[in-house]
Amino acid sequence: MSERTGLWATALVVMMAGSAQAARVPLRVELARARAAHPEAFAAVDALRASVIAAPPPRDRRVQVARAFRALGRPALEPMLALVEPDAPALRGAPAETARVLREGALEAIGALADPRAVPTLARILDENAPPPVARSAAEALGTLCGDDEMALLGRHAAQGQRHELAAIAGLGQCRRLRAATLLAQRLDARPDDRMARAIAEAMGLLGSSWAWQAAGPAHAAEANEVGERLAESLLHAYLSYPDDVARACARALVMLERPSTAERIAAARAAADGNGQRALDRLAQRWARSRTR
Amino acid sequence: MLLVVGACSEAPPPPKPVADLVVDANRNGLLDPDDPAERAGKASWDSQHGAIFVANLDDDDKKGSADADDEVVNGAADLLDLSPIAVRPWPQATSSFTGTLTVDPASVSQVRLFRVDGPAGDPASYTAVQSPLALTALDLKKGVTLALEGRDFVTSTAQGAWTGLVDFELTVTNTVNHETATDHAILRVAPLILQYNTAPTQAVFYSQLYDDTRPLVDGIQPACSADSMSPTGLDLNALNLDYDQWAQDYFDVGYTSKPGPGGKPVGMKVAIRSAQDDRTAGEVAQKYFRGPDFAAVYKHGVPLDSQSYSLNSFGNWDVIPPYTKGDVSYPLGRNLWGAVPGNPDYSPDAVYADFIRAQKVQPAFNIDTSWLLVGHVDEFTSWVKTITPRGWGLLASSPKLARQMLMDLQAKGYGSTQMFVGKTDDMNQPAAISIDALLADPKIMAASQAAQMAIDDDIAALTDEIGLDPSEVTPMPFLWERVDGALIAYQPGTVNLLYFDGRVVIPDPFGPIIDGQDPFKTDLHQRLEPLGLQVYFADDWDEFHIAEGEVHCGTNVSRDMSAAWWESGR
Repeated sequence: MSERTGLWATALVVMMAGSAQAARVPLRVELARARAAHPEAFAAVDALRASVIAAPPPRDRRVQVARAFRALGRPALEPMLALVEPDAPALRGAPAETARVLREGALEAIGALADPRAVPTLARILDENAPPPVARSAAEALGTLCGDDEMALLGRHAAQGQRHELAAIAGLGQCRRLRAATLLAQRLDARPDDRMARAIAEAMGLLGSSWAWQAAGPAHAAEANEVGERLAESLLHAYLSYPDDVARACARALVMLERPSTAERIAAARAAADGNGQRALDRLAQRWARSRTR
Repeated sequence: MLLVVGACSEAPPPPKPVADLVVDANRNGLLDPDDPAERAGKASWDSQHGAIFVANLDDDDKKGSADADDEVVNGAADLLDLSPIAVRPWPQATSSFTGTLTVDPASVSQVRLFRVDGPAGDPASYTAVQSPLALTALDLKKGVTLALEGRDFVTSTAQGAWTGLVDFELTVTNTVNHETATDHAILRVAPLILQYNTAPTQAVFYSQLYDDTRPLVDGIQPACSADSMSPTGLDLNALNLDYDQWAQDYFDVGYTSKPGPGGKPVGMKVAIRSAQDDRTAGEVAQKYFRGPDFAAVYKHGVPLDSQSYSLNSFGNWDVIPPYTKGDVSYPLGRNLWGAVPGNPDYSPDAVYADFIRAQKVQPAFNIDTSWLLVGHVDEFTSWVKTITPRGWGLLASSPKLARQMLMDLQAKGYGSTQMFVGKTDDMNQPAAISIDALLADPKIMAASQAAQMAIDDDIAALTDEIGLDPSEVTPMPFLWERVDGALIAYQPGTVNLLYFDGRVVIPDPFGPIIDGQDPFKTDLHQRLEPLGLQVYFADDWDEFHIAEGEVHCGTNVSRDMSAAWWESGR
């Protein structure tokens, strides 16, 4: 929270209280101030917006829009926030698909900046009826920041039945903390539907990635250990409970944890399993062994 | 006396009607009426017997449309694209006989039949005729020569769709006593065959975007020169087409053929436009390639499928080289494309996919590319000819190897050495990053590990299906990142390469420079040269790598696919 100052922090507090409309007043003030201070950044974002509307890129390379926004760098944060606001004036009249691409692209860039000043806008997007890819981009940006407040926001949206449940789960997957791991594990342990379970497993893989925790350094070893054990337990149970495509996602995530105890866990589960479970666990053991040798 | 007179004046009984069609059932490019193999195999179609015709979709007279679009023979060269059919002369035919030649109802709209009256080498001798074609007694007596062209390929596997087999029926009738004779002959339209990497290469293409593609061309040129070729730039601007650097994606090249003289395949190349309606660069199929012996096709759903647009790019369409597993052979290889079978949200255009399946000779196999940002099989696999017992192998992305290489360098004290020196990232900032910093980036590491998991599953599916030994899969080191919820190469994707004739042009990895060498380049030389590959590098960073593609995405090829597909048994 130390980086948040002035009206941005006020906006976040208002958002946390659940009053989206109230937060817009200070946001508008802040944007006006930013526009006056950095007119060139607003002009650059506006030029990009106009060029994408005039000539949308091929649909299989639309992430180029995100890249173009990212190329504008940190000075473009405020104008990008203005662009992704629900009902942003700059996108009125744009074809719906193009508007979505622009918002997604700008959100991706905002997330890459990992700037706390974006939190109120990101929170507001999750509170409103944003298209799922837009909501996911916002949630992942929040997950990248991964402070207590962001995690609380994501946890609220990740609850069963929430409009942006999937997005929030993806956001939690970006938050490498035990609390986020526990939230995801609890959701998976509650046996959600296949689509949700697959998304949770994928998020768990990213959160628990052994390569990522090793990158974070030895100072995080203890938390890495707790996270890994919590996720491994949940993923192994889910592996035996879901059909093939979900089970495959669980297996991938489990392997990504690279827990030393994995072989023992599989063996212990096999001892208690029926015939089908044993065959499934044999496949998992092979998958585990293959990952060790490749 | 009367009886005697009567006996002397009685006319001889009319001959039994004879109906005899001749087609090139023995596949030697000629009509051999007296060859038992020609006669025995004419009413059936298998790997040994049966006549063939091609979809005449090239433009031999360069008029700007397919030769099959009009009702004339389009010059002498077009004659080679027609398949001969003959009603064998029956000298005993008398004026009481007539004949009728019919095409089966399902095929009528798919083919065009010409009657030849005059020298067979003169296009003016050919007149388009309709089914049923009435034949006179004189026709039957002297015989009739005909020629067949296809108006399209087989397009669907759906029940009731045209199978590509054309059944000709000749009926000869005595109009006095109504006695008849019938004969049948079957011809099959040639399939569209897609290219596999290990076939000899004839041309290399790229989008001619001048300064933007110059670094790529500079990298490709030495490899092409070593193979006595020069890369061909497709000048999209001159063709009034949109800027599109992804030459691999917006078109593909195939081949279709029939037996020619001596039984050797003759036919035409086929440029295919991707099933992406807003991608005008795909019009190179018609505007640039279509011409003599070069056809063009564009198959897509109506409306075009939009759910999985990127899967229609041809970077997602490859061909596993020819192989045999157990007692099943795939002499023309197998089509390979990324999809999640049964999931319409992750499948390419259904009409195009069914069109490819309907060709039959390269049975399809799918792998899951839903974990990829762009979604193309060429992002993590490449097929190359090798000097191994199989003769070819699979190159596959290995983030695990890349990470291990970097950790080894770090352990040797090179952790502060920077990669990507002199390059800018997508934020227009210097891309340079030290080995230490990269290995300490949890996001890159998590994404790379997730990529390795998905790659492992896909490669396992491929090796199980093909029967590849793990030793036939060569790891190609590069790390991945996660963008927009999916995975994309972070380092230049070294497996996303251009392969032709034993040469690989690999994206320059711009790795750390240690003792004057890039260890990633050194590794690739050491890894690939023992396989018999000549290694080249191309700088694709600015135009391709940071725009989610690499060398393979930016290039295309035309290869020699003139194999006798009819021997495949499919």
